[in-house]
Amino acid sequence: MTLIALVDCNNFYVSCERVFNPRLEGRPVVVLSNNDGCVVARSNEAKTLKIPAGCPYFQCEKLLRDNNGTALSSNYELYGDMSKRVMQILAQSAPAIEQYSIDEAFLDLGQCHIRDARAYLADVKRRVWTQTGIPVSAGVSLTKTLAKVANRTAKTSGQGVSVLLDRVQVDQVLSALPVEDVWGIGYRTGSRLAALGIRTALDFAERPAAWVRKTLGVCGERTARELRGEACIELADLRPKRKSVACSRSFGQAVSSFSDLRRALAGHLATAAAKMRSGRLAAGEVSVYLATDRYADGPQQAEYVSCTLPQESGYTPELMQAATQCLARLYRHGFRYRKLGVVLSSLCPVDAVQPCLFQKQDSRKDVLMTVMDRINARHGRNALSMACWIGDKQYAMRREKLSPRYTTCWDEIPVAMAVDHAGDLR
Amino acid sequence: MSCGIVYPVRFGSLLTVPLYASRVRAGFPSPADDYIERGLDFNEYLVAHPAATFCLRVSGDSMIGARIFSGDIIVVDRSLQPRNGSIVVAVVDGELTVKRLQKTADGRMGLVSENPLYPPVVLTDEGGFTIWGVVSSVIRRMDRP
Repeated sequence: MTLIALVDCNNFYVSCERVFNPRLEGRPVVVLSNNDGCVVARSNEAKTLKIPAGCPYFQCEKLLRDNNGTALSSNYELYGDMSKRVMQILAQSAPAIEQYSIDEAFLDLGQCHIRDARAYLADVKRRVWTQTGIPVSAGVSLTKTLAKVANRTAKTSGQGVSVLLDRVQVDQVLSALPVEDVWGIGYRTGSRLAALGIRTALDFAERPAAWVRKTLGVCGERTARELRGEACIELADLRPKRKSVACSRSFGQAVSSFSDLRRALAGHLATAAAKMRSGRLAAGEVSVYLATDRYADGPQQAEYVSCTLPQESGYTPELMQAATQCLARLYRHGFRYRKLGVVLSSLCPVDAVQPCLFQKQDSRKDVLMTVMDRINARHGRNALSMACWIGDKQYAMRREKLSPRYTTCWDEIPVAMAVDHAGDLR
Repeated sequence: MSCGIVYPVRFGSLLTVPLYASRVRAGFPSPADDYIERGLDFNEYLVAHPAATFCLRVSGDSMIGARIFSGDIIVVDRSLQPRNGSIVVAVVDGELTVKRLQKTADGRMGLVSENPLYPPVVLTDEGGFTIWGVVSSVIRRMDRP
């Protein structure tokens, strides 16, 4: 019998912050996206205040302040390290796990001969909690899709653990679950199904397979079968092969000049290209995305332009040439830009690049890139960069409310007080 | 003071740095090559449970009786079970605090400081504290403050 659990961290980013700053306990806390733009994580208290996910910070700033709340910048160093710790503990708990995102993982318990799944998950939950201070929820069922459902039940029931194995019980839960909340369905497909009279997950699961396949294709059919308890999606099956590599950032302040944009673009491109090369890939297409601040006055623009390369390339100067052309086509004088991104797509393995008839091959390019990537890996990301990009602080991310890198930087480790609280003790 | 044997010491992870004593391409290999040991790894010595281990810096002198000084780095292993007498990091009034865990006369758990200059103050669990983790070692560099 298959037995799959989904374990995910509750309000992960907020929970990470609370481990090292217990004063945040019991108060509304939100974590903001890059450049402190939008809310990306909320404590339960912040959810109770009805601060929606994705809410622009300026819209909830006052509400937070009035309720003794706090907003923090995203501390990726901290979240990444805490995630690694949680995943390590989960990996010790099951013969196979698939990390699905920074804060959730599927555990394959099929071979474990677990007699009491609830007690087992409660123990996993307890161990993650004592060892890292991160609260998790865990749901277990027969398939990945049902494990997602069980995990949701674990959260809403307030118990943190949920076991969904009994058919009657599964149907009961599915009958109360809106179909768009099913893993792999989503809002748009959900509304399409609702128009056809299918509102709950159970409605969907009970449709004949042929109908589902005709309406939603094989992926939809797979989801329906998973809801009926038939495991179709294997562990790690979903981890997508890399189709594109992107790097996009918001500017700390609006940028209007072309040369400034070009410089920022070169920085983004260097990051994306290095990431791509680390997977031994080359790009066949370069796209650039440019947007103004949609909350500001003035002319608005949010567009992208793509450029196909004559031959797949991993050579930063070539990619930059294409990206600059894209930028020139997007750029409008006098607009105040807030966001710039670059996407490298049509990726193929370096070794599979077809040599082009009309272009001279130059192996020195590969050597140059390899050397550059190595130096940057050893001496920090921007140790060596192209001349058109001089690491300019103006474009650095805005992270004004950043907490210390508690677990990854010696100068920022938490402080343990060794003072006597003689006054307030007894 | 006698120092006994001086061991060669190496930093970093054992798995990433292959260790070869000689790089002789021609001629005879070093006879010591077969006896190369791994060296000593501080991670191995100080960190039993990597996922549960955190470093904190001490501020204040209330634990000098336990030979923990201001500026020291304490290694905290959250997977260890706190026992009577353990040095722990506890959350007191929303603050991470280092104390000794001690059973009080009436059998409850309390936190005490260790500084002979201060009278012992016991903070019992009634006053509200939670154990954050157990201190497993102390690191102090002598060549810089």
